[in-house]
Amino acid sequence: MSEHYRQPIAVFGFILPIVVMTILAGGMLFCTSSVNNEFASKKRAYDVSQEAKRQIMKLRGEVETNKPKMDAWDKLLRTETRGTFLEHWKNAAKNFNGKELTKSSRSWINYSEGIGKGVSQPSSQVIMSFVGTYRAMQTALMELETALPTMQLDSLDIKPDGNGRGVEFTTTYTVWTLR
Amino acid sequence: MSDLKHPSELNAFQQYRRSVKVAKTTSRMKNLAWYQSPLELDVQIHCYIKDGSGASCYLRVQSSDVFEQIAGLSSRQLEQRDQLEKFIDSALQHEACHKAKSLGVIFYIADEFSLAGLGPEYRNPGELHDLRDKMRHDPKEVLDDKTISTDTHAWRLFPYAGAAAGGEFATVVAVSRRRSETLKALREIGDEKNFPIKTSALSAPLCAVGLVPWFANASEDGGVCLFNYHTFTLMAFFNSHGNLMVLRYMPHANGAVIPANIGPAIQSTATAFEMEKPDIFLVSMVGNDLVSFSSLLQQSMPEASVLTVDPDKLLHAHGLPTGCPLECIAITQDIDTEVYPLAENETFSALRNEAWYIQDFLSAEQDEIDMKILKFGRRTKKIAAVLFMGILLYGGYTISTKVKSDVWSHQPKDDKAEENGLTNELKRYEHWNNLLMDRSKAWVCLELVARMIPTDGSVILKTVKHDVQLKKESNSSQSGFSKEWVVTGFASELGIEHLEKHCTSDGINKLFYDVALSTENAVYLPEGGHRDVTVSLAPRSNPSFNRFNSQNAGSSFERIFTLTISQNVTADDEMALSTVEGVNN
Repeated sequence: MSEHYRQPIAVFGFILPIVVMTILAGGMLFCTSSVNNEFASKKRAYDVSQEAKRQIMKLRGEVETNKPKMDAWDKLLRTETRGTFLEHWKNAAKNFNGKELTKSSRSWINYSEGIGKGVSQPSSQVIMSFVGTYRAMQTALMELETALPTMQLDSLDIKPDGNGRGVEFTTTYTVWTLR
Repeated sequence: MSDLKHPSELNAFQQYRRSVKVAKTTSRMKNLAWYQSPLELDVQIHCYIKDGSGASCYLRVQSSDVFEQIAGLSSRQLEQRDQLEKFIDSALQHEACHKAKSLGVIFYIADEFSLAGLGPEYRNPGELHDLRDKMRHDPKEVLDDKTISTDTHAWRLFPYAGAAAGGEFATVVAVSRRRSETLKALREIGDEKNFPIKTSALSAPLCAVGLVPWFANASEDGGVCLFNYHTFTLMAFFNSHGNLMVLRYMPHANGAVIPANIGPAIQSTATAFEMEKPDIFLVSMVGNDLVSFSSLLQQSMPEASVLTVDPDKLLHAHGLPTGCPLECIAITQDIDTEVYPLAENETFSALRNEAWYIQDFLSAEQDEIDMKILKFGRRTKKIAAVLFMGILLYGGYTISTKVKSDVWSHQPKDDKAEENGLTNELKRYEHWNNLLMDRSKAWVCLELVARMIPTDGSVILKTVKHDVQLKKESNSSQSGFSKEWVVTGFASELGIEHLEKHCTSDGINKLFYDVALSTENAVYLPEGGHRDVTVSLAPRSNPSFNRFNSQNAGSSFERIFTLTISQNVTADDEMALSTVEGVNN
């Protein structure tokens, strides 16, 4: 057995290739590990981003679903004034004659003493009095309240009209406003 | 490899390159015979050199149980390479050799023998194995006689295992290097043919010592074995246990077949070992007639038992051909220690187990390349390469997959602003949706009152007063509210009965439920744990009642009444009012 050949064979035929391959494999594993670590870091950010994206998509969906209503409300809130309020009343009352429904008074205050009191959303209050029949009043109020969902009834008084013309209705509404 | 430089002249890388080249160009990697002892190989040629005339040769094929004499080699043929090649080719043409993948050539050097003593500094039996190695590589250091030549002779240690403590524990045997060129030529022929020819040069007298158990037993009187060769006689002295005590060598003078004065020599040595009448075994190793020798010994030692071993009988007993060297028995046959108990004693156990009597005196000087390491290295490299490729593929696949993924190329985007915008928009919707809920509508309120009053004229209303109040809770952003209806009017008894139908829990809940269904106004739905409705009816007699002459509509009714209905909606109800704006409108 050769003492001369044993060491070179062991070194060049065994140790050196193994060392080289070990270094290369180690390098590869190190690279893989680095990539894995970086990937894990990116994955966390990606997951957060995807979650945020999903959340945004969900929010967008909800906002989109609500948009028609919101647009209508925005338009209502932007365009409605005390002047237009009268137009709505006229529209509601146009199907009735004076015997059936007559508005006797209307007054506004710039704040609400009813439902709007203690609510941060600005509101005003409108007090209206009518004389008319029960069904005419109900129908007219239905049309008015449908056209102006910003109106919330604070109080309603019904009593016989002193002049015997019918029934007197006094309504007090809180009306939500933008400012 | 003989034409190549000696490995010591090459650098490490060149040595490795040579190893690889040899591995590629020879069968050394595949044929393990290159690294086996010739005695381990299937096909062997045993060449016995008993004198200067040449060698008698015997072919042994273990797998075919063949042992037969073949054409010998003259002293001239032994020195001519082409003759040796022809001899090998001829031997391998034997029908038993047609599958031979290797050949072992064993030379028995019987034409010369000499002994020497160990130097005085090497008298420690505990160093036997170190001395064995040292004797191979630096015999001058170990020998007592520093004038010996290592160029002309090869030296090997031979132990006296089992000898009495304090006496000699080993001797040194020398064999001439005269046949080393022949053996080298044989090995080179093998190299050229890429056919392993392994050689070994044994000292025939040492093999003869290993033969003793086959014909002798231990004797209380001790024993002496005389191995008679052509030019010398070897004397081996054994104690009462059959352990070898000493070897003595006597050359034959002037062509005699026995040494002069051997009788006194044996007697003096036997006396030194206190053996009065030892058993003397006389063995003719090269066919000399020893009858006169036996008589001579008997005369010199009349009390001793002199026994001449019959070689033919011994050979026949072990299935070897007549005329075959007796040493072949010791070399080729496995000894049965039950039949030959002497083989179990210390001397012969050591000789057999540690292969002392089959030491190769003329071993190859050329370094053989260690193909086992190379082979192991190749296998390891293949495994490592597979692992490396596995790691490379795994790493490559992992990196490639990850780098190509959406995750890797993803650029973080600040969606916060959009998310906040959408959240605010949603909050704004929720805010307005809450504010604009149909929680208090006059036309629904009128519907409730209308449904409460029967249509048969048994009840007429006087006043209706309806109020809605917020119920603010300090620790909540939601506010519940309460609604109250206070209805006064006139009624007949029938009307009161009718109104009383609404004045139970089920009655008022049913009324509210009917209103909720017909108007689709959810606040009137009575179910749920966050809202409740209460009702009370206070009927009393109508003081202005006049059955026959009613002044007005009310005076025709017996009863007047006050009906009070309260609905409470708590802050936890879905219709509760959000009092905090929350977002910028």
